[in-house]
Formats: sequence, structure tokens, C-alpha cells
Amino acid sequence: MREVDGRPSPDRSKPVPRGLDSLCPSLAIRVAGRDFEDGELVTELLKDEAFFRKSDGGVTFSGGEPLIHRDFLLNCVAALRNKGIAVAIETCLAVKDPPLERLLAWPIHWLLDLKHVLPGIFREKTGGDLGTVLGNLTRIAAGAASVTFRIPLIPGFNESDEDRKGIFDFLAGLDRAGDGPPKVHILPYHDLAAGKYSHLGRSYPYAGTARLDPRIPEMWKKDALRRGFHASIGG
Amino acid sequence: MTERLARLKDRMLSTKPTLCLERARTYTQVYREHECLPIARKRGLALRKTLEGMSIYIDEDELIVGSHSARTKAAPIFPEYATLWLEKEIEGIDRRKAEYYLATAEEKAEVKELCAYWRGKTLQERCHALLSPQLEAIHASKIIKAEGNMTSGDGHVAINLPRVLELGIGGYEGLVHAALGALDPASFEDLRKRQLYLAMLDALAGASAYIARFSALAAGMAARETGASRRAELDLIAETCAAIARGAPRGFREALQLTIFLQMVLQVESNGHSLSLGRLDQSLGPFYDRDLASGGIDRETAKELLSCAWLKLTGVKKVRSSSHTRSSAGGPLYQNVTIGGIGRDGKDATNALSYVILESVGDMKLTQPNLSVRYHKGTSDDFLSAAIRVIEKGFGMPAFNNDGVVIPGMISRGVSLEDARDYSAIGCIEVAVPGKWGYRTTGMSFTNFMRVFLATLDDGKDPVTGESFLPGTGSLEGFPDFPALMEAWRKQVQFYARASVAIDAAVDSGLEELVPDVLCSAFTDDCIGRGKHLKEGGAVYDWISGLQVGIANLGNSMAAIKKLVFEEGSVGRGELMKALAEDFAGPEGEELRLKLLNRAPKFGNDDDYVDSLVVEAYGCFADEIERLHNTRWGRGPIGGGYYPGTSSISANVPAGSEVGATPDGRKAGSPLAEGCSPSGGTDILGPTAVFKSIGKLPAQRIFGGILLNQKLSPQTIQSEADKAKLKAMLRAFFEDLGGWHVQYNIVSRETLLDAKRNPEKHRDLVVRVAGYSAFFNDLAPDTQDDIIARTEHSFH
Repeated sequence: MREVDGRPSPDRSKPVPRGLDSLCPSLAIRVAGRDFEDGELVTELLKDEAFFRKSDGGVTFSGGEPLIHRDFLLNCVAALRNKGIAVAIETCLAVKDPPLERLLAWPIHWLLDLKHVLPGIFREKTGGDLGTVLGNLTRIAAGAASVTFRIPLIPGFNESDEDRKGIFDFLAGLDRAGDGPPKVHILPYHDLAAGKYSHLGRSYPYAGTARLDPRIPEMWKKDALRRGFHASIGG
Repeated sequence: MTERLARLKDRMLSTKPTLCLERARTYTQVYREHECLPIARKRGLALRKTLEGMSIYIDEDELIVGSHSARTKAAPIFPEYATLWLEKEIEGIDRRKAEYYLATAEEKAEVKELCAYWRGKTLQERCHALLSPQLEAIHASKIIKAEGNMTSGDGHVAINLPRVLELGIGGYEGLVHAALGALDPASFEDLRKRQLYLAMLDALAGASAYIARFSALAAGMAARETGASRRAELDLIAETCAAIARGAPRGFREALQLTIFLQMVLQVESNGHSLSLGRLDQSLGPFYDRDLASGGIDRETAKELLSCAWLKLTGVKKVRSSSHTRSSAGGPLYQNVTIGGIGRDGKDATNALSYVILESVGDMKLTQPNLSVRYHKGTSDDFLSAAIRVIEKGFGMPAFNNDGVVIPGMISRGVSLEDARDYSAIGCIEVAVPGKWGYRTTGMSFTNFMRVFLATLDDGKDPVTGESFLPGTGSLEGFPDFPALMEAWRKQVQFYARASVAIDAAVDSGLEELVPDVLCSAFTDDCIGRGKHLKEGGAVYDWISGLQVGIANLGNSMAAIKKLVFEEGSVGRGELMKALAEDFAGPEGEELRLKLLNRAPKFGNDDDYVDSLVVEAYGCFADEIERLHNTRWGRGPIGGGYYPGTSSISANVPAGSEVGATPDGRKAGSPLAEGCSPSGGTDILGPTAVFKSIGKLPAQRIFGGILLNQKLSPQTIQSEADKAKLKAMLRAFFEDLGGWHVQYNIVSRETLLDAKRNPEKHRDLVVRVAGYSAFFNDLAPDTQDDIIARTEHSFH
């Protein structure tokens, strides 16, 4: 048995053949996630309808990345909205040509990731194209009434004063359809993913190294409020 | 908490439980000297003599006084109910593992001497004498258990406290005198009634004398007291007790003191547990409002007095046999206090005192009273928030009951609209109309569903005893399809439903003839009017239920067999029976066990496949029990029937220890699912899915209560936004899904430590990590340690 981070760990880097997990009675082999047809997913979601209504809550489509499931997402949103269930979409926006026009026809609450405004650093750290991200963000901000910008604060990536100024300046200058000042969630880095890595038998590259100074999110919040934004830590 | 309360609580917690022989001594003497008297009169007189003679005390700092025995936490002995276990256990009673009682050598010797008189005369022996050989064998097999009912009084009742507070003890004496005066001396029926009335007068006189003795004691102590402030307190106690010894209370303090006195006296009369106080905010609320308006009391004083009352409830101890102790772990007495809900007029009845009661219970963090909050659509957000502030303290209170289910369920059984609106919880989750309902709305015998189910798989043969109490209903190897199995289950469980009622009838008959409660009957409508005690049919309403244990295991076992044996064919019938018989021995057995556990649907995940099986299988039992009657049927009360019930306290543990391996993948001897909650660790889709599954059960039918324990990690309800979510979830469960009851256990550090060691047992455990919740098992070990550390902090 090989070891990862000092613990014995089977090699789980290879995908499990479809159906194999159902042969394992002990749940040692588990497939995270499930395949759904869109109608099937809506039926599952509506099981919690009573709770959505009593809590003024609803359904959030979240990561992975919902925008890449174009028609599936559109069908689910339509079915839920037709039932009067509130819908939110949380996206990293790094998706080419998502069906924004059709999505923007629905009253959706958007949770938009805004990690950085410098294309070079963005490409280096995430492998993504900032042009695509900001293009999508601009279109949604201009077309949707309800938007929250979510800024994950990641040590060594975007927590500096210059980063903050760049992101906040960008937001301040953004053309937005929504009333009032921009809404910002400051999300301090956390290591929930470490559990997933260890379940997958993989070493967690950030283990122990990525500690965010707890004063930094406070500083971001203070600055955001000073600029007149709605801001909260977490969300 | 005030300093006084802190001292009182500390003294309470450090007081060791002891035995008190005074009651047993007096009862034995009265029975000996008055053998010719009818039983009711013997018991009225014995109660009176006990109350007139027993040692009483007022401890330092006490503001509310009274006790059911000579010392705090001293358990009286009730030899007339059962002595066989006591004779066996008395010598080592101070060394018992669960619930010990200190006793001196002299006390032990005297207990044995007293027991010798009662040999052959007790309730327990009478009950056994009434059982047919087959019922005796079923009872001995422990498929149906009634030991608790044969060895103690009924309990599970609340008196008509509002009326008692209106009339006072003297007023009740007047009622009995008037009834006596109206009797026809030439009538045989009235001769019998006369005995009960005379007994009631003795009991009422005893209660009155007992209260007057406290007045005299307080006055005497005041005269000797050197501290001015304590002297004033003692004077006030003396004055309070003098006023309520016969008279009706004039203010909040007197009303509360009388309530506690009667709660104590009723627990001298009988050792039944779950003696409840009903809707205390409604009974005492008017007194509180009047005093508050007139300046006679302030909120803090009222809160301190209530807290003193809770300490009195906590000081009550009842000694039970070791075997019975296992079914009620921790020695709980379930003295329920219910607050909130709608009033007789249909409007929200939550009042100022509801909040004071809630807060005082939360501050004291004692095991008594058992606090229930009635939920209805109009329950304010503010009151729910106050309740959640108490839940956060992590001692399981308050529990919630749902007006939206209980009230229509009562009306459908013939309870008047106004009475139905006036219901309260009794004991833990079961409900009754206080002061108008007979004993044991739940709390009759326990039926072990999984023993019955295993017999169903083997042609009626119980694998533990090898006996076939109802043979010939087929076996798993022979059932052509799943419906045939369900049909066999129906026959088996209906047979045991009848057997449980037959055992109950023997017990009720014994209780009626040997140990009628005279005082409790006087205070419950309409015993005086009818001239009948409660067991003769004196109550206005009299529905009862037993407890069925292993509900989720039953549905899960059926789902596993239906899916894996009958549909997939992936588990062989012989293979399953062999594995069950061998407790899944060997690697192949373990593989099969895991398959049964993990590859078939489980109750509590909002999965219709298994949820509908729970409903259908439990329905088989309900169909039969609803046809059957209790011993008061046709003798006066509305009702006289049965319904199912699941508030099986901690009986799931001993019941599980008496069941072999089951087809839901449960190993032999391990606990069954408690109440109606999902089987431990098998509800893996979070709390809303549990609520949805529970919501599918026919709550108005399972009227003995649907008990649901939910676990909550302390961090999940820290912020206001989190609390708002919890409230929304409760509202959805009660208003939209028809939930009966829910209570919250805050997850302890010990649970989390166990979850880290045994993750497979805790697949359902959700914890709040930071701004989000996650399944504990999905967290990295470091994060788990962090949560454990935080949990430690939040509770010290």
C-alpha cells in the first residue's frame, strides 16, 4: 500500500469503471455525484419544496461549473421558475459562450466569482482566460437585477493591497442593471477540499502552507464599506 | 441563575440518592390493621396517615417546599406494587451499576421484613395470576414486555390543575361532600360509590394536613431564625402554606406552591412516572398577570420561584428494578410541563409566563421538568427564537408538539373542540387533555416488532425461545412473492397486537382492583361526578397506547428483502436465513450484511420505496390495535380504545439486546432504532429528508406519538441567519409535512470522537464547519479535530 501524507492510501487517481461502485457492499468504492436527466433532477429538488417556501429559499446551481451544462441548466431553471422556486447560479464565469441571453430572461440571483483583474496572474494561477470571465461578468452585471460578486481571498494569489484596489476599482466602474451599490461577499480561503483530496488518495498541495491572516478579510470588508459597497465576510 | 439557585442546584446534584421507608411502613401498617376495608378506603387512609406522619423538611435557601419523601432524592418504597425484585436487589442496591441507592444495613433489613408481609399480595403477582399460560409465555419471551406496568402505578396523567387552583383542596372536599349527600343508601351502586368518596375525603384531608404541617414547620423555623432576610422568607412560606392548606390560592406564589405540593403528594400515592403538570403557563398565567399588574410580584422573583419548583421536581426519585431501569436510562420521571399553543378560543395562548417558564428551565438545565412547546401556525417568531435559545444549551429541551396534527386527531376521536385545543404533552411526547384523560395515553406494554418480524420469516417461530406462538404463516423460503411476506407479517403482528391488549387487560384489572389512586381520581374529571376512580372509567376521555419498538428496522428489513431477494435476486433466501442465524459470521456473512445495510433503501432519506413499506407494515399493526378496547370501554369515558405509539424512551437498547441479526444489516444484540427516528447512521441526506420521511407516517393515526430525535451540532445554530433557517425548517415540518414532534440533541464532543473512530456508525452526522455545514465523515482528520476542539469549547 502506498502512503500519502503519512497515511496508507490506495491509488484512487484512476477513474472507477462505471457500475463498479454498486458491486462494493462496504461503500469503500464510492462515486461522488450522480447522473441525472433534467426532469429527474427537478423531481428530486422539488422534494424540498416545503422547505424552500417556508425559508424564502430556493435552489442554487453551483460548482463544478453549471454554465457548461447549457440546455440541462436552462431546462431546470425553467421548470423551477415555473413552479415559483427561486433560483441562484454560482459560476466562475470561465465558460465560452454560455447561453446568457436565455438565462437572463429569468429572474435569477447570480453569484459571480471575481478572483482577479490581471490577465497574466489569472492565467498563471488558474489556467483560465480572464477576458472570457470578465466578458461574461460584464454581460450578466448589465442584464441581471440581482447579482452578488464573490471574491475568494487566496493567500499568495490575490490578497495584496494592489489586488484589492484593482478588484474594487473594477467593480466601482462596472455598468450594472441592479439598483444600489454592488454587493460583495469576501470569502476567506478554507481547506474543506483537503478532505476530498484525502478521500481521493491525493496529497493536498496547500496543506499547512496556505494560512490567511484573519485581519486581511476584515481589511477588505472595511475598504469595501468605505467605497459604499454592501459587503460581508462569508456568505 | 441567582446565587441562591446555584447553591440549591449544587446541593441537589451532590446529594446521593437514598431510600425512604416511611411510606412503606405506614402503608403496611394501615393494610394490616384495616384488612376489612374496601381497597379504595384502605388506600385513602394509608395516604392520609402517611401525609400526617411522614418526616418533612425545609432546606436552607428553599423558597418552594415539599417532598414526596423524608429527604431530597430519597426514593419511597411502594411494596403493594411489587416486592419480588426488591427482595432480590435490596442487598446490593447501593452497588447497582445503573441507578444505585444508598441504604443502611438496618434499612435493608427492614425492607426485607416489609416485603415478607407483601409476599403473595402484590400487583405484580396478581397480574401474573391473571395471565393465561400462553400470555405468560409470550411475556416471558420478552416479545411483549409489561414489567414496568406490573411493578408500578400508572402515572402518565395530568390532573385538572386550573380547577384545583380555582377551588383549592377545601373546594374539592365540598364537591365530594355534595356527591356523598346525594347518594341513595338503598342503592348497591351507591354503596360502592360511597366507599370511593370516603376514601377521597381521607386523601384530601391528608393532603391538607401535610401542607398545614409545612406551615407550622416554617413558622417554627422562623421563630428560631437569626438572619432577618431568611426569617422573612420562612414567614412567607408559613403564610403561603397556611393559605393553601384548604383554601384556593390567591396569587402566583401560592398557586405554584400548591401545584408543587400536589405533584409531591400524588407521587406519594402512586409511583407511576410521567405524572405531568399540563399547560402550566395557562394554569398559572392568570395568577402571574394579576400579581404583575398589582405589583405583588416581579418577573425575576417569579422566575426564581419557578426555578425552585423545578428543583423540587428534580428531587423526586423512584426506585425501579434493574431490568426496568434499562428501558428508562438515567432515571427520568418525565414530569412534563407544556407551554404555548392555541387556547380554548383558538387564539395563540402563549403568554408572558410561557417565556418565564422557558427561560427558567433553560437557566437551570435540570432533567425536570420535561418541557414541551406546542407549535401552531400562529406561534410567533419571537417565541420560537426563545425556544431555540434553550435548545442551544444542549440538554434536549424543549421538545415541540404540533397543534396542527394533534387537535384534529383528538376531534376525530370524539374530543370536544375546546378540550382538543387544551391538550398538553404527558411524559415525553404523548398527548392528552389534562384533567380529563385517563392514565397512559401511552405507556402500556412494549411490543418488539423485530422479534415478531424474525418469527414472520420462519413460519412463526421465535428464534430466541424456539417457540411458535402463532405457527403456520409461512417462511421466507416459501413465500412466492413479497406481498405474501407482508401478509404473513400482518397475521403475525395482529396476533401480537391482540396479545399485548390481553396482557394490558390483566395489568389494568390488577391495577383497578389492588391499587386504585384515590386522590388522582378526585382531581380528574369526571371521577367525582361518576363516583368511579380512573381505572373504573372515571375519566371523560380514555384512549391508550402501548409502545412499538423497531419501526425503522422493520421498514428497512422489508425494503432489503423486497429489493435484494425478491426483485434483484442478488441475495438468496436460504443464504439470508443462514446469515441471520449466524449473526453474519465470517467474511461472506459480513459482505452480505454490508450489502443489506448499504445496498437497500433506508427510512429517513425521503425514499418512497422504503417509507411506504414502513407505513404499510406499521399499518398492519394499527388496523388491529384500533379494533381493540381497554378495560374502561363502555364504562363511561369517550374512547376506551387504543392507538399505536412510538415514544419508547430508551427501550430500543434493551429491546435490541433481545433480538438476533436482522435483514436491515443490523448485528444481533445491537440497539434498535429509537422511537420513530431513522436507524442510527442510515439517514444520509440531511434533516429535510428525515422530516419528509417522518411526514409520510399517518400522524393522526399513530396517536401515541411519533418520536423524532434530530441531532444538531452546536455550530449550526450560532448565527441569526442559521437560527432563521432552523425556524423555517420547523415551520415546514409542522405546517406542510404534518410532523408530530421533534426534539434536538446537540451533538456532544463524545459523539464526535466516536464518529472519528467509527465513521460507519455516523454517516448521518452533519457539522457546521465555518459558514457551511458538511458531513463529518467527509472532513479531513485535521478539520475533524478542529470541530471536536470547538465543540468542547462551546459547552464549557
